[in-house]
Amino acid sequence: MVGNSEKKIEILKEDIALLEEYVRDLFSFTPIGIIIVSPKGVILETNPALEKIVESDTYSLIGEPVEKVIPKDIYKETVREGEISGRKVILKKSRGDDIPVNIFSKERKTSEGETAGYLFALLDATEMERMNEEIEESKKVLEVRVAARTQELKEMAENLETQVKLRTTELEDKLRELEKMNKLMVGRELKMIEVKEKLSRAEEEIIRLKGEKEPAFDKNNPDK
Amino acid sequence: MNITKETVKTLIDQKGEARGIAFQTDEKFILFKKGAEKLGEIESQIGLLIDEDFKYDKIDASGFYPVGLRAVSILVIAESLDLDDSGIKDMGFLAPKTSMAIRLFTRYFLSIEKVFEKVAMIWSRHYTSGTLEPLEINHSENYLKLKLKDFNVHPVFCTYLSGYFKKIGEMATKDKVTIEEIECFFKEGKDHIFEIRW
Repeated sequence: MVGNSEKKIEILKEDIALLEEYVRDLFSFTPIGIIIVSPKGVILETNPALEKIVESDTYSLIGEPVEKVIPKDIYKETVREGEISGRKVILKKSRGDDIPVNIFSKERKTSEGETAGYLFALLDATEMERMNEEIEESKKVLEVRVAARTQELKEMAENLETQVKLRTTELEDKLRELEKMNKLMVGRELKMIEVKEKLSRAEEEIIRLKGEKEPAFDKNNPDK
Repeated sequence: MNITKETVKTLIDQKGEARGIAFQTDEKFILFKKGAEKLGEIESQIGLLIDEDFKYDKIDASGFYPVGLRAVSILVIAESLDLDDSGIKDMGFLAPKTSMAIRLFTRYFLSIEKVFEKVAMIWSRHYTSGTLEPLEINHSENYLKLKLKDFNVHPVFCTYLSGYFKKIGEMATKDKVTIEEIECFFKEGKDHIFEIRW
């Protein structure tokens, strides 16, 4: 009976060791910085990702007030509200540099409903910020390029308009000249027609006058 | 080396066991202070003293080991890293920062009273010998007293535990505390009594 109990204890110990290894691997692997805080606000546990984010080490963080990493207002809000979901804040690294992070927090409770502490998860937003900055930068460059191209097109349009106006004026001038020429030609034609008519009338008059002076032609006696 | 095999044998023959998690804090302390090379050196020194291979990473966190071996670990580390009493106290002060056992008790770190109530339980998670009892808590003068009974392995523990309890006090109060061993078995006292003030 005793041997059986000891065997069970051994099995349970192995299970706990495996579970501990699993939790440790997960805790060490995740790129999300995690802080476990006591109900009093003392840092009890941090993972390697958190230490990397704030550029600090376990010994410098554990046992220290949570405010050493988490801004006081964020901690107070967590205590008051029970959780915070994705708040963007700027943290100070141990060397004083700023680092943008997204913070998530949650109150831990015991099965009896008592506060057992708080959990904080920090997501390094540096990369996201850098990408946003790049997008903003690209947007600005694009805006400048669009503005320049718009100006260029506007100038081209204006230039084209001027050229069209110039060309229209030229064409109008030529048209007027043509009209003038046309009128001139038409006038001359009419004049010629008129002259021809006058000439024709004059010839007829001459013939008529000649007819009056000479006897009328006798077809039976053409020599007469 | 000042620690003799005879001293080590006397220590290891003492009654009581220490949990593997306690040795893990020693390993982390060496790595933090001096790195992996020093760790290997200290492991070799302990191995020579106990006549068997000794590796911190082979120690099972939930296992039980002679309480005297823990004293040997602290003594060899102190000698190898040239730590005086203040350095040994600092080793104890840093231990709760990496102690898995302390994390199991996070829910009690709500107030000094809660921790005070649970000290016996916290002690039993580390050692099978000795008892740690809350003796007195004074809210108006901000101090408490802890009594450590039947744990007279080696005086190095008094120094080490002073640092350890100091850090526990700070984690519980979220404030700076001072500690003093006001009664010591090795200084003609009946037990060990630690006074923590905040």
